[in-house]
Amino acid sequence: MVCGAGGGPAGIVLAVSYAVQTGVYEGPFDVLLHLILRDEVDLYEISLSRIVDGFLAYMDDVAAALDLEVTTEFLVIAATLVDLKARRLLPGPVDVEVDEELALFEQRDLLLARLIEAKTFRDAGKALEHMAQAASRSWARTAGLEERFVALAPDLLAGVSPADLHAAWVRVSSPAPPPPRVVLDHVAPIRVSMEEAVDDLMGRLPGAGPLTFRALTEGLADRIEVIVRFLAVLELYKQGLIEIGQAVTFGDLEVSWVGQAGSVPDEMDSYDG
Amino acid sequence: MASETARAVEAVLMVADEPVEPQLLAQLLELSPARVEELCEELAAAHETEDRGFVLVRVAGGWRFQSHPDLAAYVERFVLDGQPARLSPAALETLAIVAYKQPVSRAQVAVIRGVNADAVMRTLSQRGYVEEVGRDPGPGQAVLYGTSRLFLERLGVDSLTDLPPLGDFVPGPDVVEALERGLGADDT
Repeated sequence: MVCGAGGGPAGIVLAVSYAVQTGVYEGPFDVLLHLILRDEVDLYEISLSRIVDGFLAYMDDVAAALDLEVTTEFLVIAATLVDLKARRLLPGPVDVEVDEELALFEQRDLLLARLIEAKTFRDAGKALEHMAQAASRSWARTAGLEERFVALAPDLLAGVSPADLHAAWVRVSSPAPPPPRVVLDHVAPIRVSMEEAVDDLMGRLPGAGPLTFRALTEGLADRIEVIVRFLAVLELYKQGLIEIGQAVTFGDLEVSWVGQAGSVPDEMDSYDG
Repeated sequence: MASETARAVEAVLMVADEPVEPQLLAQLLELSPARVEELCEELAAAHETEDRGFVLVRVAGGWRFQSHPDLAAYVERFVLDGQPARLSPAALETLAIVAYKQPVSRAQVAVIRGVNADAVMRTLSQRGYVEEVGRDPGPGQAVLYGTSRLFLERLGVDSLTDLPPLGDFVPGPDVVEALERGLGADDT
């Protein structure tokens, strides 16, 4: 890895060094820790200016590939770094608000603290790895599934008897599928019967002269009732007890009683439902 | 050779496939847990002296027989399922954060690492090293995570108190100075 040595634009040299990196950085802290604490870099070669340039160069190289959330993290840190660098470049404490300065220092100190914390846990992680490696040289008995797996896999054959298996086989191997059945149970049955309709007609027609079908169905709420009433009319006509006339096309139907007095309609087909 | 109780301990531990808590052994043998601990320590020492190919260790809160680390090469060839895959540096870092800061939420882990922690936490969860241990009482009721028993087993540690203190890992003055310099905090 090329180290930013001596003169020349430090930013460019550092940018080149990142092109050589094969590792992937896990976020802005990762990048900063690497930038600042690289092995070959002498303490006195570390400068804010170079760090900031390196950080921005890394962002340029990689930013397109980062997802939005990670990019935001980078931007926040970059903003602080750029501010710090800008402040450095200012000739003197001219036109610098004390509040702004303090805020900037606060941000810097916060960033420093977070970097220290990140480094702490990074080193702790390495220690944990060593411990795990040492421990892995010693095996314990593992009888059956590890505990965490046992809970995951339900016993698929729980409660299944040989009879169930047999029944399943029969189902699978039987030839024809059951015939499709249109289930209308959910349709609310409107109980309208032909007999009732006929009774009603028998009550009204004899001796009443011609009545329009419209009059005969006045006050009926559902269409099905009207239909059944019509069927009743047809049935009575079939039996010769009434006459139906229609003077005008699409005009009202006139229903007239022609049966003998006291005649009763024959048994008729009943329509269920 | 040894007393009946010592042999009973050996027999039970031989059959167990996960660390056996001394309280359980105490119940089985009708002894006090303290006496059980004593016995186990004696047994462990005896195996050591006799240079056996196995060791009796205290791990994840219980006692368990394990193969002697010196013989790892042989056991490796025998154990067909191989080693669990190694964890990435990111996963190790995250695991360290959970181990030392538990109970901790995913958001808190993300703040420390400076990156989103969801994917890594999911991996660690799936591997069984971290688990849900509660809920944050504050708004949002964020899930809190902690390390699992499997984590202890994997590290060969008896309990969390056996982890090296976090202070051991705080960077020394030279590193801090370097970081200060890097952020331009060494002048003002």
